Amino acid sequence: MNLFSSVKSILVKDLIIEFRNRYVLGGILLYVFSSVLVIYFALQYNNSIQELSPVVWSVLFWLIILFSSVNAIANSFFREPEGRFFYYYWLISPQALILAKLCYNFIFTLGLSLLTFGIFSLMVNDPVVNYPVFLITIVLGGTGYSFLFTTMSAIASRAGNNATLMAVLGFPLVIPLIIFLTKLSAAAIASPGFTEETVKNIWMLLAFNIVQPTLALILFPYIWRD
Amino acid sequence: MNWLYTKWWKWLSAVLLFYVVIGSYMVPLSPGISKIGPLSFSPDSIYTFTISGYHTHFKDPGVGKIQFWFKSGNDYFQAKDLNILSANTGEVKFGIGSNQQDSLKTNNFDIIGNDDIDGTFALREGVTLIKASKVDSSSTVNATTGPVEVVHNKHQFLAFPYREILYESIRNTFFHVPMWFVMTALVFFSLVCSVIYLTKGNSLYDVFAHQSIVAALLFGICGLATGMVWAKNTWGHYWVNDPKLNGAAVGVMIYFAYLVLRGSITDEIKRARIAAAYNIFSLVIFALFIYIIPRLTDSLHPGNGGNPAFSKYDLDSSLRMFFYPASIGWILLGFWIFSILTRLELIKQKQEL
Repeated sequence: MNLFSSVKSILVKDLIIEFRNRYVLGGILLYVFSSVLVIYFALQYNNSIQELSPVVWSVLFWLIILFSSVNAIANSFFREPEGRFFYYYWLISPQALILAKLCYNFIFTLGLSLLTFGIFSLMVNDPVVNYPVFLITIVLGGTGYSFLFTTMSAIASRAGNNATLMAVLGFPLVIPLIIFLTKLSAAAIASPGFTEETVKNIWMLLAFNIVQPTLALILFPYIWRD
Repeated sequence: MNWLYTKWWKWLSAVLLFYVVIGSYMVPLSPGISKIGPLSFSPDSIYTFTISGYHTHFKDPGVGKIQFWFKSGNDYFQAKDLNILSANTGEVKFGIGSNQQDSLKTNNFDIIGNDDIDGTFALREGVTLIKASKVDSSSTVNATTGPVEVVHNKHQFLAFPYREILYESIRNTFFHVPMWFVMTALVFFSLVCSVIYLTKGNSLYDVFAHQSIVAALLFGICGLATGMVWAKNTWGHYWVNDPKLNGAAVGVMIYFAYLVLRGSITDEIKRARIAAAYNIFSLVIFALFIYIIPRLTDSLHPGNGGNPAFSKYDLDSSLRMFFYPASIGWILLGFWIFSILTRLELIKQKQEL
């Protein structure tokens, strides 16, 4: 099989499994919903939803996405039974596998981010005025989170499927991402149009999003091999 | 491999660090003015200011002519009737006429002193003039911009620069800053070892990568500790919101995660390979983070703007005399500790076989 078709078949397989196993999808949705609910109640009973500053809003928003995407992406490697990797090993190249996982998690995290935004704006509020910048931020954020945690999930799955390990490995590395994401979404709340700083931050995120999958592609064969 | 066991660079490190530790505690600070009183004055009367010098030599034989000026903008007003009380204190008389007050560039006067041993020393914005509401034209008080005649501009003995805010803690430059050099050197060494391990598969390089991270963490923690003590003394808090500090904390966290990762895999070859992959991945992301973010935001640290006491931070020649040996000495010490850790690990592995 060539690279493209093997990526496609793994991707399709993962998507099909996801839809057949709807309780995983439902679990993640409920996870997002209940975390928004926790934040909503914490804010509501202190009467501070109205005075939520743009920065606090974006920090809360990206933290919810962070935790729910960690939970969702942890499944991508942990779910596969021990023996199946041997089977893949005979069938496809490691690059195809990691590419498929990256694509799948990207789609998943993007959906998750949009959904979180929907629930968040329904329940808490929607202060965004600059939708183009905000959408770019969501796409770049989804990419960054999914690429980083896919790699970490691959590493953690080799270290005995330890979900704590994934957080320990990934959280220090997610800090630069969070800084730029919150900056960008706070900018999307505060002002319309593209300022010079916004463009600079978008370039920074793009740089992170190019470096991460490149490293993942280079290093995954070593992680995967038994 | 043999370089782990050779001795000359370890001796070099010991000699350099001995020189640095002795030197950094023996060399005094250069002269400065630590205090002046009163802190403010009004025009049209003569005031007696008591000036407290820091490490000055007013009573020494070769001190020559001791002079003080009150500097506002580019005008040097001469202080008169100098009365030396001790090696570090003196009294001068100074007053300014109310007809002069409007020609001043600023109401804050720098105090500048000079003598033959101590060279020129100063206190920035030491005294403030409280302007009179009316100009008294009959006033006889008149400050004169005296002739500035100096023999030596620079102090005549080996001394570290006297800087406000820092004072004696400037010696920490030889301890705090090199810690980060050592950590960076060891971490990049570990990166190289990880890359070699993944391409060659020689398990020796895995031991190298692992032990250099352990040594780097040791120096990272020392760097944080020395930095925290320094920050408490200069910036007022053990921890301040500063991109370099936060970057350092993240770096230390990443390498603790690396050790946790190693600890959670039992199979040796698998552990070596996955740890190497994580090491490369995290270091590249971390390097992006540490080299880009401090350039985007202001830092309290020198070289990034922000702190006035540091903004003209140029290593003075007396600091350089110790800073370069200190950097080399500490880096060699880092690799010395690394070599001991590595040899210990190799012996342990041999015993297990």
